[in-house]
Amino acid sequence: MGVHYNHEQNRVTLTQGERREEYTVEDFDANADAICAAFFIPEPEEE
Amino acid sequence: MAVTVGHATAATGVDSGDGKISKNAWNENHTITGLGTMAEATAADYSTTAQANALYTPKSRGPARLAGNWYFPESYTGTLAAGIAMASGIIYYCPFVLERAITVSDLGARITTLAASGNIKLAIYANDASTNRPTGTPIAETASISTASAVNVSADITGSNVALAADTLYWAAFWADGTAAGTVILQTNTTASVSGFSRFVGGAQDEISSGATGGVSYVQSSEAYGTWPDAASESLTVTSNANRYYAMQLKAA
Repeated sequence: MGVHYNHEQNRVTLTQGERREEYTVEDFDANADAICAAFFIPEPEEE
Repeated sequence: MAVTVGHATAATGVDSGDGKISKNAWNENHTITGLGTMAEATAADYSTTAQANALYTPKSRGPARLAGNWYFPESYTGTLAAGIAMASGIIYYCPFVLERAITVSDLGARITTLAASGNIKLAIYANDASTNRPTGTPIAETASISTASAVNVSADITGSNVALAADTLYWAAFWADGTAAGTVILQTNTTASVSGFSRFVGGAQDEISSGATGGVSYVQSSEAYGTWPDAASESLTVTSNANRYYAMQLKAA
């Protein structure tokens, strides 16, 4: 589960398990809060 | 390697007169140059540059670092904690040493508490051996990374991949923008003061212990969020907080 920036390729990749979404850096940064809130599903707390 | 034997006195007229060398010339102590300990040698004393580099480059230990895998510097030895909030306008520099050389393509960290509309940057600085403080501009740095979600975050290093040497002190730098002030929390290493600062940087006795001052795990400088500064020009201060040893993740190229 994470957010990875590849600025060289102007790409941001969101992953959680098998799920994956990609955005341009500009598109992601302009709406990061809403994109992350919609994409990431809360996982159980770690022990 | 050439070894030169020099006489303390030189006979004159060897090739003239009776052809004999004075006994003083032979009996005086001789000076032999070209031999010495390894510690005394310089790269020029070796036959090839490769031979010198093999001797002088710090030796890597441990298994190979696999391309594409993520690693913590070996100086993170404790358990990972929930972390500590980052203040805006402050760069936190946490010292680390690698057991094995690694070429790094990406830097990462884990955000344990998000900061909406915030950003952080990550970097690695070289160490000034005369002061054991970060120096120069970063040898590796990322552009801004959103703190919009409490997840692992990472970014490619600006420019080419960066080779980090074994047994060499580096500084992992963490910087939050104004929007993220006081809210973004990055994962830390709980045994901070022992795992990094006190082992490799050192300081006053109460700075490396866990006594009244709480120990030390980093240095910091005040700087408005923007372009990474030359650390040599920063006013670096030591602040007691043993647990603020932010955990920098390194991706092997």
